[in-house]
Amino acid sequence: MDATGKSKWIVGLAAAVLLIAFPLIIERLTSQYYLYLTVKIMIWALFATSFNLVLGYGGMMSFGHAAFYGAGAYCCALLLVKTACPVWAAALAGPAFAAAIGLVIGYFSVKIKGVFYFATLTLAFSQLFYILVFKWRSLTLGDDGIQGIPVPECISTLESYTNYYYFALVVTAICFYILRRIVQSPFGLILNTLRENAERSTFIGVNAQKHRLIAFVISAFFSGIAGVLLVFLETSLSPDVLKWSNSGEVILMGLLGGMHVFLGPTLGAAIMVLLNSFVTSYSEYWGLCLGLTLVLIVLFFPQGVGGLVHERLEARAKRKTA
Amino acid sequence: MLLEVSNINTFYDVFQAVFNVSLTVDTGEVVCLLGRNGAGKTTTLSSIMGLNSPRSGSIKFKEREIAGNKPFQIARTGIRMVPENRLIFSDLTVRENLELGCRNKSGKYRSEKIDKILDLFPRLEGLQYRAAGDLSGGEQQMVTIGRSLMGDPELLLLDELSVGLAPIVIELFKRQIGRLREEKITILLTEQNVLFALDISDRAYVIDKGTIVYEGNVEQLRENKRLMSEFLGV
Repeated sequence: MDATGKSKWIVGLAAAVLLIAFPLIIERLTSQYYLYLTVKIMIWALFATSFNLVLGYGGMMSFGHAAFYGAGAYCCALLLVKTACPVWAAALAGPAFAAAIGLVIGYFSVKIKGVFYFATLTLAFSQLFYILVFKWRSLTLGDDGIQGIPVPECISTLESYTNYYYFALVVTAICFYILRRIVQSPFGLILNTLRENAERSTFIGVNAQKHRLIAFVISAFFSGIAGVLLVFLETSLSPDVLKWSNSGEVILMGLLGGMHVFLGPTLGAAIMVLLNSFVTSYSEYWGLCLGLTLVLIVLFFPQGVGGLVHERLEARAKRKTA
Repeated sequence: MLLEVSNINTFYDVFQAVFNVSLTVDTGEVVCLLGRNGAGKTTTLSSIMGLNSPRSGSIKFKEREIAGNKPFQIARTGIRMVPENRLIFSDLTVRENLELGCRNKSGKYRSEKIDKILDLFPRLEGLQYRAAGDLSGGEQQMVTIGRSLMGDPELLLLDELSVGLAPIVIELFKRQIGRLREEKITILLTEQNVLFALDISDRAYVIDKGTIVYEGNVEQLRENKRLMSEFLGV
C-alpha cells in the first residue's frame, strides 16, 4: 500500500472510531440535541449524496428530488399507520416506491434536451406530487400531517437518540458504500461522460437516455431511504417534506460541499444543518445568512469546501511525489 | 463486403449535402474519402455513424442494414468513429478515457488492452493519470483513437485525422496507421491532407459537391493530374 492509501485508511479508521464513540462523548459533555442534529446531518447527507449521483456525476439538474424523499417517507409512514405492515417491510417499501416514482418522472425527463427544461419538468412533477399529497386528505391527512407513527422500541427516540443514532449510522454507511461503488464503477465513469457531453459518449456505444434513467432511479431509491430514516426519527410527517425548497436545499448542499467530490454533499449537509441550528437560535435571518455564505462560496471556492480540501490534498500529494 | 453504402442522400434540414453516394470497404482495407472543404466527406461519415441519417439509400454493415439506427446502436455493431474535433472527455484521466472504450469487460481485460494501446502510442504511457483535457492536440487524438481501438472495432472511421496537427505528429500517425493495417483493422478515413491519405490508403474515393467523382486505386489517382488539381487542389 502506498503512502496516500495508508493515510486514507488511517483517516477512515479515525473517523469510524469517532463516529462510534460520538454518542458516549455527547452524553458526557452536552445535551442529546446534538445527537439529534447529527442524525439529521446523516439523513440530509444521504439525500444530498444520492441527489449528487444525478447532478454532480450525471450532470442532470433535477429540481424535484424532494418528491422521492417525500415518496419514501409517505409510503413508509402510511403503511405503518394505516395497515398492519411489518416495520421492515414498510421500510423497504418506502425506497421501492420512491424508485418507482423516479422511474415514471425519469422516463419523461431524461428524454428532454437542455438543463432548463429538465429542471422545469422535474420541478413540475414534484409539485404535482406535493399537491396530490396536500389535497388527498382521506389518504394522506393533508396538511394535518401524519402523527404518532409507530417505531420499533429498539430504535425509539422517546427517551434517547443513542440507539437511533447507531441505526442511522449503519444504514447511512451501507448506502454510502454502495453509492461509492456505483460512482467508481464503469457505470459511474459513463455518468461522468454524460455530464461532460452526452453526444460524445454515443461514439463509444453508450445509450445516454438509458444510463441517465438508471442513475435517476438509483438516486430516487436512496433518496427514499433518507425519507424513511426521517420518518423513524421524527415519528410524524407533513407535506412540507415534499416542498420544492427541499429540492433546492440539496442543490445548495452540493454547491457548498462540492459536487465533484464524493463526500462534498455530506460536508455541505453538515454545514447547512449546523449553520441553520446556530443561526436560528440567535436570529431570524437564517435565509440572509445562508445567502451570504453561498455568495462567498461561489465567489471564492466555486468547487465547494470539499473540492477545495480535495485540491489541496492532491497538490500536497503531488509535491511529496516530486 | 464489410461496409456497403448505396445511393445515400443526406440533408441538413432542406439543404442536401450528399447526393447518391455509394462506396464499399472490404475487411482489412484502408480506404480514403478525399475532397475539398465542404465537399460532403464528414456528412458521409456522419451518415454511416447515424449522426445524420440519410433520407434515402442503404448502409449495410456486415450485410445488415444500419441506416436510421441510433449512433450508440451503430457503435455497438463494431463501428467506431474518431471525429475531427477530438471527442475526449477532458475531466477524466487518459486511462479512464481509454477504459471507457471497453467498459463492460473485466478489469484484467481492460488493463491488457490499455497496455496494447500504450504500446501503439508510447507517448501516452507517462500521461495515463493526467486529465485528458491537459494534453496537446496530437496526444488527445491518440487518446481518441486509443479509446476507439479499446472496443475492438471492425471498422474505424477517422474524420480529418491530420487537422491541426504538427507535421511531425502527422508522420507519427502515418506509422501508427501502418501498424493498424498490419493488424488487419479496417479503416475508412476522410482527409484534406491528400498526400498523407494517399500514403496510407489502398483505395480512394473523391467527393465533390456531395457526389463521388472518382473511385479506384490510389496510384492511378496520384497520376491523374486533372483530378488532383481540379478536385483536391494538389
